Amino acid sequence: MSLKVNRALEQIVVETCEKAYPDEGCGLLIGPTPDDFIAMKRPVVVDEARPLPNGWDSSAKTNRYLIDPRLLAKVEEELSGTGRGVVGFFHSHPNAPAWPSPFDLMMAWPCLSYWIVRVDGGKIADSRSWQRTEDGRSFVEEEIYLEG
Amino acid sequence: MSVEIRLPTALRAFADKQEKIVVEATNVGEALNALFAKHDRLKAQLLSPDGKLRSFVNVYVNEDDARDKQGLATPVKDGDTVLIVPAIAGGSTRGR
Repeated sequence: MSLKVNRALEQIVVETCEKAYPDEGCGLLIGPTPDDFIAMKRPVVVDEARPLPNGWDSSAKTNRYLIDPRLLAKVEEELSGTGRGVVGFFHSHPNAPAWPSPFDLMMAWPCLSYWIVRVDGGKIADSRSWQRTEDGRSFVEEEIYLEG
Repeated sequence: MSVEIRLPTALRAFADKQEKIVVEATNVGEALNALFAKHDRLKAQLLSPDGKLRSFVNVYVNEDDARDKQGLATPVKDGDTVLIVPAIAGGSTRGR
């Protein structure tokens, strides 16, 4: 199980998360829709990282993020019929581990990659990607494979 | 009434990879039930064990959020689009 990204995309993810500090940054991971989306062993290829505003109430943006469903719907519509889709999401954990929290688990969807970037003092400190199991009880870490 | 249900990328895995599914229904609840009749694995992803729409699932009829209308009882008419959009949220346990 792995998340394949190139270094330019990684840079977009890291910069978005560092700029958002001390708030959480977030965005979409877009790529070819895998044939075997449901199989957790598949590699996930990301060919675009699209930062989006953190839509959570300003009082809790330091430990919460929210992607506006209308923005997500717009992107899904844009990608409709192209063979590409939203294959995951990224967000940051300011001053906290790059492991999914119980709230991350509660809100997670199956078949998608959740890339979490730990940001300490405005700089990346760790970066890990995860997929939720279909039964919703846990996350499994996937390797982030950097290309290019 | 013939309505088109559109699924987000992640949920297509539970619907034979289909993105758009046409069903017959007069309201949102009927449309979803018709969807589950065709693809029963979607039910566990969208409904809580007590049969209610999970709070982190958004359903739009065309541009309108069904929660702002009549929820599952929101009427649909011929040619409407029912859009299912996951709420994407999360965040760390600890704040600053």
